[in-house]
Amino acid sequence: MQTRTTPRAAATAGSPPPVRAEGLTKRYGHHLAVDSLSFEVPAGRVVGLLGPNGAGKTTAMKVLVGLVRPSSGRAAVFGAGVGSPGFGQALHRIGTLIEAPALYERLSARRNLELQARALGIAANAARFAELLELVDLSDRSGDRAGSYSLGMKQRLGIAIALVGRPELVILDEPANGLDPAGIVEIRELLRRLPSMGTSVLVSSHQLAEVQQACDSLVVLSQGRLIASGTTEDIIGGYQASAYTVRVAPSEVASTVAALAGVGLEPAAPQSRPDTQPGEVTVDLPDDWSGRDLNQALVGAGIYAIELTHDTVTLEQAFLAMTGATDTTGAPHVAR
Amino acid sequence: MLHAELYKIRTHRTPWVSAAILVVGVLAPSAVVAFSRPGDAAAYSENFLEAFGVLSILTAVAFGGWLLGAEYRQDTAKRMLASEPRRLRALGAKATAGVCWLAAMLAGAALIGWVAARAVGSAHGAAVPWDGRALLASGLTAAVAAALTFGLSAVTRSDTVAIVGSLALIIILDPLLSMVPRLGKYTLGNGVDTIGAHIDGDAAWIGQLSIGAGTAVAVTALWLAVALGVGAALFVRRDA
Repeated sequence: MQTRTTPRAAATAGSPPPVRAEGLTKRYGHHLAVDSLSFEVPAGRVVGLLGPNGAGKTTAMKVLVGLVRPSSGRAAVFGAGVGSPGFGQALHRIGTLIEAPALYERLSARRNLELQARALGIAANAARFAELLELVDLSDRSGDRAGSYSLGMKQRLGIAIALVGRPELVILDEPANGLDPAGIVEIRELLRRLPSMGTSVLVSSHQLAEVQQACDSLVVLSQGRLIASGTTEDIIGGYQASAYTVRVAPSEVASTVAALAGVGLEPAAPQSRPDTQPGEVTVDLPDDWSGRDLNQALVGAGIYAIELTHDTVTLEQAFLAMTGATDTTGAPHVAR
Repeated sequence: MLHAELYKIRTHRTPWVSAAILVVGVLAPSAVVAFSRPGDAAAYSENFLEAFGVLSILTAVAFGGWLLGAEYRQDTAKRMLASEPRRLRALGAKATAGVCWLAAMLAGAALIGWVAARAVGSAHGAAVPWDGRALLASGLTAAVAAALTFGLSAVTRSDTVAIVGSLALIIILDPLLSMVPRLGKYTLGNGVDTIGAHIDGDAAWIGQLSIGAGTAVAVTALWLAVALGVGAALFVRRDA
């Protein structure tokens, strides 16, 4: 996987990473929201925080910006521990969008940006606001009350607010919520562009395909615990599929199954795979078999496949397998 | 942070609506008196002071509750705290901005109301006097009501609950507490009224008071310290 290391990231080599969490734990009464979580966001990288609802993603992000106190463990941004004397200064290097965008709904987009600039103690800069509104495609509605915006527009304004102070790190919690497909693509492109502007990114999302395309590395949580971390390839690699789908004429399915059984393979029964189409037979290959071997076996039995497909594992499938859920087809057809 | 808080007040509707209600409310009595008793100077003054006394408390309660409570209602408290993690400082900036606005609103309304009363009165041959001490006493009462509601909004994290709670405390609980034998004189209402009486300098009123000026200041300060102290402690300690 390509990683993006920016000039600013190179310059900050040796500096504390934008985010470092060590043994971070947050307990609400008996409920353990975050359990001994450790991870890092290196400078100039886009890190995705993944997990099902209630996995602790938002809580972890809230701890990082001081909205929630950790029960134990340590979190630091740019080397400043959360709640330490230098934390306030460090926070000014961060832009945040946590949960829903926090907008003053009676104010316009432009005034929301101006208010954020004042809160950060920086000069209100009309050109900067115009640039940000252009970036999130809200220029045409910049004078309208934020309360009149659609959910997607509010989300985009929330992202613009996070970027007001030219942050070195942005923490975005589900930034694609409420966005239409075009909006999601825009956010993905923005996330990919941010490192080149000197901004590291920590983003949580349920849009796994988007995360897969936008992030350099992933941190996967389940029930508050870290269950995997690394690049997308690292994580998917652990769940690499050995399954192949053979497509033949529907009338040849029975003979194909018999042929595969004849060489010691056990095709999955079509009814066990709800996503199987007519004429498709799925088979898991042993480690010492390749797709070529499978094709040879079929040809040897007089069966000429219309199509032979190696089932690839998507991040979504790996994620579902890791978190113990089933995918939308009802088939957890990935194996470690 | 203070600039941001002042900007919020300037750009939101509630502070302006509160101020407009107060101004209209203190102008109205002069118009009424001009029709009912046009030459009665005392009527202009009394009605103006009465309207200012009541409406300044109501608008101060609304503003005091809105100042912090609205941040929770519109879920912007976390944005505020993500910009300034020193929460006491954030709260202090908000309170300071609120005091500035409240002082301007009360002083402005008092001045506008009196100028209007004087102008209307003089048009009818009545010389309406300036009663700065009475206005100051009313302003102080309004400021205490605003502070109480501000503290309650930090406790309840809601402007609506804080405003209703504050009005319930002022209108219902305080009179009930005042009936408690021996302790009844140490209510917030009695403390503020006593201070007001001394500021006003009305000898007849002072003669009826159940506590001295020093005690009244201590009682008022204690009530406010509890409301603001608990509010500030919760604001600082609670997760956002």
